[in-house]
Amino acid sequence: MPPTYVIVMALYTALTAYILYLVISNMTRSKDVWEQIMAVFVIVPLFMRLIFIK
Amino acid sequence: MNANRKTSAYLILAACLVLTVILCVSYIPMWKYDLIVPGPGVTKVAWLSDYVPELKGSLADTRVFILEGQEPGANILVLSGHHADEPGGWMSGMVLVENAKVRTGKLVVIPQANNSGFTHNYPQEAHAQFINIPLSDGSKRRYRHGSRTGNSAEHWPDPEVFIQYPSGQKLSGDEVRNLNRAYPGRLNGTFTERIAYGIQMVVRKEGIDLQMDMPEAQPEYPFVNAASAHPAAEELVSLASLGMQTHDLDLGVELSPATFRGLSNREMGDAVPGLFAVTMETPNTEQGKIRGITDDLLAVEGQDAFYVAAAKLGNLFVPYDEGGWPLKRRVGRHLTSFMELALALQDVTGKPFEISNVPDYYDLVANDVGHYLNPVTDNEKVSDPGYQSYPGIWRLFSKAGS
Repeated sequence: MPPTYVIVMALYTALTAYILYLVISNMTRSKDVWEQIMAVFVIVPLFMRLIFIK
Repeated sequence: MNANRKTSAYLILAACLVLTVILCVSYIPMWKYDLIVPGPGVTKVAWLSDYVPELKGSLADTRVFILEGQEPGANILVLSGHHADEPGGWMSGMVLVENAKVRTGKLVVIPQANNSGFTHNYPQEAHAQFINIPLSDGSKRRYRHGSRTGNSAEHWPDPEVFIQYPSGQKLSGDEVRNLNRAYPGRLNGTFTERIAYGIQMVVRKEGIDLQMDMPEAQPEYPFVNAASAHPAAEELVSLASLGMQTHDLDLGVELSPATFRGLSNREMGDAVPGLFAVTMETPNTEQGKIRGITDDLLAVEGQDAFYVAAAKLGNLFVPYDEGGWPLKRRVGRHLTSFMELALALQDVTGKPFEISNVPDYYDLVANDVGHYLNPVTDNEKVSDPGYQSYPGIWRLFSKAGS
């Protein structure tokens, strides 16, 4: 049985993947290019977290 | 129109991927353990996981250097690198490992106590990822310059409020990754509590008499150039303070408050009977909140014009002139404090501890830190584990696995 913090971290990783999916799908639907550019500030950190870099 | 927006979305997404790759290339080298060249006094290089096998393969694992004398005597543990953005502390541990020779007693050094903190930077501080120390042979040694807290990629999410174990004291959420709030630790606790537990096992299994911790603080912080001691170590630290005056160095002394929990000196002193636990602090300009340009030189040279102005206005708790507080002065203070504490330990307990080859404050100021780091070439004792362990899912690909 892994420690509790590892289980919680796994659950949050799944949540991060879902939020990343929502952000990217909204970005591709957006008609405002500035809104799309601003998404970079969300996508890059979430992606870094999803792959356990930072 | 929509088709164009789709195109821009995919272009921006591609840019995100490129940015992510660039950031990965920048951060991943911080997972690599720093190269250390143990001196002739090191008799054994162990790992924290040798004391607590559950830490093997994780970023919690860190090197434990043992310098054992020929005769038994007092046993001292030097803990540095609780906070990886306090190089005066962890560099003091490195200098001890690379130079000290113990004749009587045992010295245990954990130079990078929170290795996880060395694998990333503290957000919004603009600290350098690496610092370079020039050696006397003309080469340079590169060290990771990390964060006050452990890597959030290894240990997340932070809670809104961190409830310290076992006191139940409430601290800010990100302190859950601060090793110096995690003592005495527990095996089934958070990632950081497991590291603290590992260090507690080192103290118990090595029969440590004196535990000395070497952090740093902002020059505007009231507790700096000072020692904080567990009440059991009051006499010992008072003697060390007197001893520091023989070197013309001031050392403020205070007892670790019973209402501030999780600190190494307070919790370990409470948890381990007979242990003297002390924390020393030196001033570190790059941690200060009124500093100017923040780069790798600031960590080493410790000079900042804003702090000179602040000192003139009487706003600091340490003297601060154009020379600042370079690494050599901070390491010199820590090592002189260490020697005085070792002397005081003999006076208080009667247990002998003989050590040589430890540079003092004036040696460091005259020769600089690089003079006391061993050259890498042709040295068989080099400890260079490289990429030993990784955070999160990457741990599956580490050498040790988990």
